[in-house]
Amino acid sequence: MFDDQDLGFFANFLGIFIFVLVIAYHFVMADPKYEGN
Amino acid sequence: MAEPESSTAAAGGSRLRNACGGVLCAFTLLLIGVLAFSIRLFSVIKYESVIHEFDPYFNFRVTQFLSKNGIYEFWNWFDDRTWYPLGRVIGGTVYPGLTLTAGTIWWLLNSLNIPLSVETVCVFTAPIFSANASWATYLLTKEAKGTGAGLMAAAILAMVPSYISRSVAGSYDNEAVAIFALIFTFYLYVKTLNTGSLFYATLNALSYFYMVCSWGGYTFIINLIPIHVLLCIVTGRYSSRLYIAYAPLVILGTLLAALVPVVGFNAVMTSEHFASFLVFIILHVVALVYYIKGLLTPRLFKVAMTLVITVGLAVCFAVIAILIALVASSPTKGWSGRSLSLLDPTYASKYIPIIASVSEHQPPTWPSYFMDINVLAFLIPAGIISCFLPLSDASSFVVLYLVTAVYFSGVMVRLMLVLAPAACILSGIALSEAFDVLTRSVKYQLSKLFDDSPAASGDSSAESSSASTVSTNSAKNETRPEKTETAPKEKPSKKNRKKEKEVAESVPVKPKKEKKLLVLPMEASVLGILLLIVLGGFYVVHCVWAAAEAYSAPSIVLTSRSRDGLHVFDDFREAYAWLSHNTDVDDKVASWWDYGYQTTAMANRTVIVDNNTWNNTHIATVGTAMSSPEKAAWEIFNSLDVKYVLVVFGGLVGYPSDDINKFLWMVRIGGGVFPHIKEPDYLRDGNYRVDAQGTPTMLNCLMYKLCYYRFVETDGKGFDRVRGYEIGKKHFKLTHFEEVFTTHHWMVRIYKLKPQKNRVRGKLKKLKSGSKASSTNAAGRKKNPWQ
Repeated sequence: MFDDQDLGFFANFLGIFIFVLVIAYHFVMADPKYEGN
Repeated sequence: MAEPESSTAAAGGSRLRNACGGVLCAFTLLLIGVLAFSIRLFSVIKYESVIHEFDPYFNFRVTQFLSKNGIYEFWNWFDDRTWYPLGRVIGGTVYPGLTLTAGTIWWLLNSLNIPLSVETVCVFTAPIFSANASWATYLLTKEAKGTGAGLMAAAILAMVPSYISRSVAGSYDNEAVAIFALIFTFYLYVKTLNTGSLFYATLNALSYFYMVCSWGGYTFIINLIPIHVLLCIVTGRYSSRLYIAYAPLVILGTLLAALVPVVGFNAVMTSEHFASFLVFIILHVVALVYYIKGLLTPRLFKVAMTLVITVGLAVCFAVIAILIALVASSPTKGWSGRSLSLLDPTYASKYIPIIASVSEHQPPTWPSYFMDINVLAFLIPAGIISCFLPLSDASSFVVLYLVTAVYFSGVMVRLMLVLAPAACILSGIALSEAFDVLTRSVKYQLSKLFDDSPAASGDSSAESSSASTVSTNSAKNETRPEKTETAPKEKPSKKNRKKEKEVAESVPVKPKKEKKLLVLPMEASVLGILLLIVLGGFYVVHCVWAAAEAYSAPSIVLTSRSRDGLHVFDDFREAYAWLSHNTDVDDKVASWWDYGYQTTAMANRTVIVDNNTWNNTHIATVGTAMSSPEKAAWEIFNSLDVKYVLVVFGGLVGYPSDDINKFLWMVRIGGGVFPHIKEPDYLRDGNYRVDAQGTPTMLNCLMYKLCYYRFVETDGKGFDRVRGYEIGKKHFKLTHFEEVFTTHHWMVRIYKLKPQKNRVRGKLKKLKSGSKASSTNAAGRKKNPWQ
């Protein structure tokens, strides 16, 4: 059964994972060529 | 030939990058929605799928009525089970947005053969709309500062504790949908500002209509947007887009708002809305001036201006004088009590105890800021700074939203909810800017590390040589084309880029535009990213903790952990179930107004006052009864046809939100209308106490007696665990009330009014003769004339 501790772990994991995903998005979209040129 | 190849490769690369970014963005948004929904389920998993607190019970009851009887019956619903004997016109006094939303969801699900109960739909409405609010935040922030900032802001809002506190599963209150409506209306306003599209302007008015349907906080929108328009005009940012964004909103929005019964003509008659009309007039004057300026020669324009200003000032003074006279002629100067208490934080505590008595209307403390927005409080200043680099209409709106929301959140703790989205947006912008610089640096350094082909090295050397001489602003415009209005024009023009290259070749250094590019060393960038992940991690852990521990309690079921394990206090439902099973359908139940909604919803009994608090005199009557001695209280309750009196008492289990702790408000509100109730009579040297030092008035009032009747039998001493001392008056009997039910933990106690004795002719004589025979007997009878 899915109890509150499981939900806590899930929410913590998902929250941090989303942070990482957002950083990944910034990394993907970053364009150093334009910055450099 | 090499140039077209490299340009197609670059175009292909950017297309691939955009495609990857798009997929990542969509996936992240989906996960943000999942997080926003799931983080609000602690209340269901830890407790049960149940409606929370007080107001949600009323909303639930209204939704039940709507789903059972349909929309027309709902509009015409006169509820005779509340505010007895006055009743309440529910259809005309309720904000119907939440109810209609949940009712529509329920109807849709049932049409699709998904037979969910109304209660289940109500319980999960708030988490669903939290996901919507996150996506709306993404859209708004994207309009202001680009997709990256939008994603970050949406992620932060999905789990911000301030919003969680009002939108956990079961918290079926107006704010649950209203925050979504608020953010979405702001998004559409900003979108209209950026595009100048009438389509978005119309959508904006419709969204505003939904907000008006949902929450009284719509006045925030109809004041904030005019302030922003005024700001734009004053700072010389007037444009036709501004006109399109504002004028349809005022006209269409006000017409639509007037359709909501609870607002009606207030939309044009109360001062909360006047600012929008005033700015509407100013906007037209400015538009006219710009139009005439285009038609006339500069000299003629100057003459015309002088003429217009002279006439205009005269007209303005006349209009302002009329407005002031109109406003001053209304009793509250055109402002409602709640709005006045927003502008003057001390107003409520001075004049409206019924507003001041609600804990959520108190000013917040500093720790509550840290609890509710956590690290965002420190990120906001950085967000404000990046909003000014460069300042656009959208970013100035975001800053203005934050500034006003900070002020209002300082007035009452409830409005932290309005601050939360602004805090999330600005923090999202700040973090996104940081991520932009850091990830760009990492990517730049990586490309420098791995590029070792001669051409590439030439490129990279060119990059590195020019890296320090590039204008950061233009670079930013290119990386995030959607960020500013001018960006879309700049992005597709490859010609411009070529021209720039040519210029760079021919003129290697342009001293005017030179600025150092923000490229950090690899180690610093990676460390920065890691530190920001750690910061984000702390924020996530705090939010999950707040959701799980602080904001999930439904308040009708309480729990406590001790060495023996988990204790569940389900006294409220026990009491309401008793009322529903053991009293007549038409019996009237009196209690303090806090429990009115619950009593009508759960016990289905008529109440005297409830959480709507529309009639101060009626509430003051109940307050006076509770503050009076037993006999006087019995007379008041009897005059209101009350059969049962319900009190909440926490002294046995240590539940601090009980009626004894709320009692001084009953005295204040009662004393506000009935001057014979005086607060000092209940205080000993200015201190409120119910121990042996308590005043006789306090120890003899009805509330004390109903709470502490037979309390001494529990432990032999009468020790009150909330107040932390033994009570003052331990042994007493009730003369006009009889105890009919006390819940398992003594948290709810229900008393019945003893019936009035029939007057029997000649009984007085008998009593008198009896008194001669036995004086003690007579004394006993005199004490209790109703038996």
